[in-house]
Amino acid sequence: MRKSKGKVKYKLHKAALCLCLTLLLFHSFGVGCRAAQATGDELTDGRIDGILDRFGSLVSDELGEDVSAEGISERLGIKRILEQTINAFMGKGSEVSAFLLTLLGMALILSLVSQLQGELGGAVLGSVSVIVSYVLFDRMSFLIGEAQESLSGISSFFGSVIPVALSVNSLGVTPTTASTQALGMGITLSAYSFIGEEVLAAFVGVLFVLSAASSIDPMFSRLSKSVRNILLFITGILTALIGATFSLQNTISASADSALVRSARYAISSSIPIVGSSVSGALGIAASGVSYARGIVGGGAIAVIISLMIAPLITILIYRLSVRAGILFGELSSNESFTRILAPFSDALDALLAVYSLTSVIYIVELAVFLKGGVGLA
Amino acid sequence: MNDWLRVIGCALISALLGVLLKELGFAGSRMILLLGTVGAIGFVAVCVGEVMEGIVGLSSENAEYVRVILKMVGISYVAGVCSDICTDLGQTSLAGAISSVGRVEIMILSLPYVKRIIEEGVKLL
Repeated sequence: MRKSKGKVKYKLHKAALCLCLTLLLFHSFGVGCRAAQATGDELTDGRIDGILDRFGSLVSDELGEDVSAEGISERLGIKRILEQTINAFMGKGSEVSAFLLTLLGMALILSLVSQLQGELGGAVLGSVSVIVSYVLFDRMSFLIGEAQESLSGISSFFGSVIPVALSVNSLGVTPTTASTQALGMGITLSAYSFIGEEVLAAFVGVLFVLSAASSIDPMFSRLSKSVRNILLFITGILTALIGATFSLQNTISASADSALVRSARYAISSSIPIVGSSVSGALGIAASGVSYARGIVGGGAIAVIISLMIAPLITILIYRLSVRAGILFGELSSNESFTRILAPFSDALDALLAVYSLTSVIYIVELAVFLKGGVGLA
Repeated sequence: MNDWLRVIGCALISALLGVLLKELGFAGSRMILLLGTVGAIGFVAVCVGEVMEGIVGLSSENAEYVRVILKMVGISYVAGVCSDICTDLGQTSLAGAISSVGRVEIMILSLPYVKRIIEEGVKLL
């Protein structure tokens, strides 16, 4: 009997100890989970606020004025574009009006000179064509510098957005994916700032010089056409390559993150029945906060880049339209020599426009990929 | 009287005098024609010069280029007229030389711009 009583006592003690240990374990698990949830939320909120503050100061440094939603939309609205266009025609210096009048004057002079007969007439026409070409080059070459300066500003802003984007990404996706996307953005920045500002701009410069030289010898005109074709070929290949890289990068990142986060949510909610659902819910809330930050940073950065690129783009477009108007005037007045001088310049402006818009658009597309690159929590 | 009527009058009088003196067997009749031509061109050049200065003044930014272009046109006219006079006088080789000098002078005027275009090209390389 004494032996059986002792055994029962021993079993009771063992059961009580097990119960205590279990309770202790459950208690520790519960406290741990709640503590982790509270700390995670606070940390995420604090970090998002910090990132958005950092981005706000970055944008205000770049634009130097109002950075509210109204301020940015005002910079991109049709009113702003019209203002830029009117300023180009009638603003300070009236550059485009002066350029149009210069074109008209040159057309009249060439028309008069082409009336001269004989060998001396031909010599005068050739020499005047050289001067007219140089004048046109002199008036338009600043566009290359302006486009380069604008691209440099855009790439510098894009470079300062990368760390902010990395911070946002590190909240929402795995560190590997975040750093992969940041690396991708860095590669885009270094590759396109080099290709756009150095290589393609130099090609466009050569194209302008060849356009000016085409009045000396028609051979330069053919050379100018070949350079233009090469430039457009390189631009086309780069567009295709970058487009393919973006779509691949986006697909891989999105699918990897979605799978990872879904499996994490499933594991948490199924392994801890009571508190698990709240943890996985908190993960969803955190992700929506990250999406909010991602939207503000990505959308804001795109708006700033468009705002930076719009003024030079309008200037180049207006100059191109002026040159086309000059060609039309030459054709209508049967002034072949004037049309022959202007045609290579029109091609050069086309190439500049293509290079400038492509390089700017690449940055915008990269930011759009970042903007869309959510973790697929839904 | 209008300036252009004066020029035409001078030219006609010198032409009539030249023909008359030639008929009379005067050896220097060609010189009369030459003087008439040079006088008429000189008079036109003075009148046109004022108008051209006005055109140059219209465009202060492009004044340098317009001045050079007008100079080229002027050289071509002067060289052309001189060459024609030499041909009329039977001096064809001199006429050719004047024409060549005119072309060279026009080319020299355009050379600085060719040089500038080349310099811009070198800058980009």
